[in-house]
Amino acid sequence: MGRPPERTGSQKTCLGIDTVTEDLEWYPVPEDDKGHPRVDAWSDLFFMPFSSFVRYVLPVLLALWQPGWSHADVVDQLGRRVVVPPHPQRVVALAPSITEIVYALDRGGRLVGVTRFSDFPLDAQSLAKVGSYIHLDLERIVALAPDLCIAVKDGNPKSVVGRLETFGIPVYAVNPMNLETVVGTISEVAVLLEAESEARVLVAELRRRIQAVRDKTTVTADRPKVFFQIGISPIVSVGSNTIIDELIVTAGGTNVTAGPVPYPRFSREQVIALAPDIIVITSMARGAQFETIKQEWAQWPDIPAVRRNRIHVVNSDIFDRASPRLVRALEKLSGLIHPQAAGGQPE
Amino acid sequence: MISHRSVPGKIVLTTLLLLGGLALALFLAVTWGATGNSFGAIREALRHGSDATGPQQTILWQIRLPRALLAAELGATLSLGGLVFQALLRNPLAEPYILGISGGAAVGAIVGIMFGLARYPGVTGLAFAASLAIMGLVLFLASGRRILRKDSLLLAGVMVNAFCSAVILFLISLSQDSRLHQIMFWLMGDLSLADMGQVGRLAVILAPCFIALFMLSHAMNLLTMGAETAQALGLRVKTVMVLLLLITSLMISATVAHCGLVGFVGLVMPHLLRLLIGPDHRVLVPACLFGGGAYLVLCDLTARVISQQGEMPVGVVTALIGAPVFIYLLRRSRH
Amino acid sequence: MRAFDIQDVSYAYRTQIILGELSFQIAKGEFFIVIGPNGAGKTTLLKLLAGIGKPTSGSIAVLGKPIETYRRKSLARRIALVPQLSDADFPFTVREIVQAGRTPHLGILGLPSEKDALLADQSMEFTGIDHLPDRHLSQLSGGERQRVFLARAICQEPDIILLDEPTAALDLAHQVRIMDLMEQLKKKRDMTVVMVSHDINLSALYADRMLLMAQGKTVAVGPPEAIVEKTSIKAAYGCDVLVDQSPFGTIPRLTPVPGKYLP
Repeated sequence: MGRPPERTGSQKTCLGIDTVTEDLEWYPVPEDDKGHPRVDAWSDLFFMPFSSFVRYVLPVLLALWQPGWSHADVVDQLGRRVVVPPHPQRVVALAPSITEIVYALDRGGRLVGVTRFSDFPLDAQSLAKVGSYIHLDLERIVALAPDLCIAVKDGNPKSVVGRLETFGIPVYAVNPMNLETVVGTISEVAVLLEAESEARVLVAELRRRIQAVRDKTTVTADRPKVFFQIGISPIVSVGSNTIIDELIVTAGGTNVTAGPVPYPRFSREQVIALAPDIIVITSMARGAQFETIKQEWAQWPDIPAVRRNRIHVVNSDIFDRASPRLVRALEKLSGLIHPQAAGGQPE
Repeated sequence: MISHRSVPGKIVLTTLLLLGGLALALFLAVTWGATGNSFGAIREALRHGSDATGPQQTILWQIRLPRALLAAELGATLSLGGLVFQALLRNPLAEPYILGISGGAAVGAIVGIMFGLARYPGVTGLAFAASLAIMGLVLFLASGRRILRKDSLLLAGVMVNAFCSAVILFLISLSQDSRLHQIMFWLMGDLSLADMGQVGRLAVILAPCFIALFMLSHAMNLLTMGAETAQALGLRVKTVMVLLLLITSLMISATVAHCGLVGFVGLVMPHLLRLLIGPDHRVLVPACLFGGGAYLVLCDLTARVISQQGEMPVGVVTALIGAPVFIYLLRRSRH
Repeated sequence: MRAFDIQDVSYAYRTQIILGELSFQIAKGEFFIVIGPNGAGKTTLLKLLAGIGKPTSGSIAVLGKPIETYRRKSLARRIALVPQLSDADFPFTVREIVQAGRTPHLGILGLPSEKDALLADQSMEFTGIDHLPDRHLSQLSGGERQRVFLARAICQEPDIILLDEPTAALDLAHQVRIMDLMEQLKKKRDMTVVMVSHDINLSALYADRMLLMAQGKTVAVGPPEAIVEKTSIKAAYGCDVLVDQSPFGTIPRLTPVPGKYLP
């Protein structure tokens, strides 16, 4: 047969150029003294066309089809066709949740700009700011010369997204509305940023943790009534079709304020009438204010949550943002709703 | 004898001077911005013309220039609107929003924002339509043979504005956080989404209005001397007043629909210019046009560069400058 | 052709009748003065003559043509109105105000030519205010202000000049001065002068014909001798007076009777 395959550093093919198909040159064509290809056996006859194909045609075909070498025409979560670059290096995240996702995929190095309240992780705080996600600063974004922007449907103004696209800056929009779409968004962003393997690991981990919480709820049929307060004054809670509602239900609770209005308002007496077993308060106000809030509820011992001292304050950032930390929020909530289940967390 | 001939001279001189001021303001507004100054980019643009590309060029010509031009249009419209209403209603406290235009536009815009419409054409269109509808309501309320008695217009305008304020508060109380932010920005003046298309479309409406108001400037002089006097001097007072009202309302509605509510310009600029130039509307009209335009271009520039965190709404800048200036003017006029 | 032909003119404002079926004429070149107590409707009548407001019924003809047929500007070239002195202040200078009188003859921007400028200066000379061209109204005395508005009216080059109580609030010298100016306008420029006055004696000294009104109606029309007499005055004003002759010939002179001299 022929000589054993030679693998040298840069073996020339008959095309005379180095190509990435070096590793396909596992069966060199026999040559005569003058360097011309030579067929001296039937076996060679068989292998020759094949190897010719491999050596000459395949490289050309692959050069044309190499995934990532050309811009891809993709469809984002809002059904918009976007032409994204293959290796985006200058990415602007147009919402704090996107910033968190990018860092979770270990692609923080690709970010050149974030919105004003992108405070997690700490590294993001040193990045250039492009306004708030509700009021983006066009000039600051364009000045960063991004090759890709990632936007969120809920918050980013349509008009700004439109203007960015007229400047030739691709904008990929996502719309994470619940746990499943958050996970899906992580995968999609990973594709954009060439982080599929990191995404697989992260997604698997997140799914495992979500399932763990679900498993906890099978232990008991108890579904305590949860009043989730997102506004102090006025008192605002969450209705159905919100992320927090899903978290409550997944964590094994009942959302007492489920209903068509996404962020309904309540008077204190209405809350008393609802008789929640647990009150969870998320707010920007930290520390000292919590005692005040607790005192305000403490005046109404008719409420089961007050009687049993089950009033809790949680960090609003993890509940507000459709990012990987949402699973942390889920776990926290689970710990508050079913503390006695296996691995229950102290308050 | 010289002063007789000086009116056309005054007009030309004022126009050239303030036009120059406007040009300078525009130049500054294009050169400076949130991302620093761009003298280098301008030089490049001058050298290479349309071949010059890149983010700096985009910023200059597609972000800053349309925005500066829109600011100029807004400033011209508001100043001129204030001037006309002060002459029409013979009231020095009159300003462009006094007849309910602001209330109507705000209601329309807020409804548009709450429904998640795009800024253009959705929110802008609704604001425009609503303000015209409210104008119609004001005219209806003040109607009858007394329609042009200045007090009835004023009263109707104040009532309608008050009603609209109540509606606005109600709508705000219903809205979600993210919409609230957009609403606030609109209510304080938001030029951030300007593009050349908007600038051009607005110019098509504004240019004939400006020209018509200039033609009516002597009529405004006569109106200042009293409606009956004006009539006795040969002015068709009713026709002129209706024309002034309609033209001014149209131009203010169109501009406010694009830019949101920017206050204190229509109140302060006419008084300031009158102090410098005198009461002759034939000179004041071009002065308000170019001077008012230049003023707002500079205010918008200030709004863009003053804060590192992100821009301030231009209405805040005009209020912070305009209120003290107005107080000063008031005190001056009492002596 | 008469300057004014008033036929059965009535004017009502809402439910109040201000003028009731007035009929009289004013000849060209006449010095015509309207007198009567307050509330008689004199000012309203004058405004109707100037084309400001429309009579509820009846007709007014100006120089032979019905007043409605005149376009606003062309009426302003025929008739000039000098309004009653008021506190109204506007920021224009004397020259600018007088210049405004040229409006009916100028284009839409009211930009004056040489001739217009000259006319304005001449008007100011005639009324004796040519030393005040750059002052503001608020800086002038009552008499000076009245003359500014008179100069403006003269600038209109009208055929007819209407004046609403031009001598009210003026001191004696200025009263006579204004009346003399009117006399000159009538003589030198052939203007018809129609004036509303509250001063009966002064009016009698100058008027060719007078109209005595009370409560919107005519009490008497005619030369001063026919108007200024006991019964008519008593009918209009409701008070007793003595009438004799002024030192200037047949012109009547009225003396009111203080209560202490009544029998």
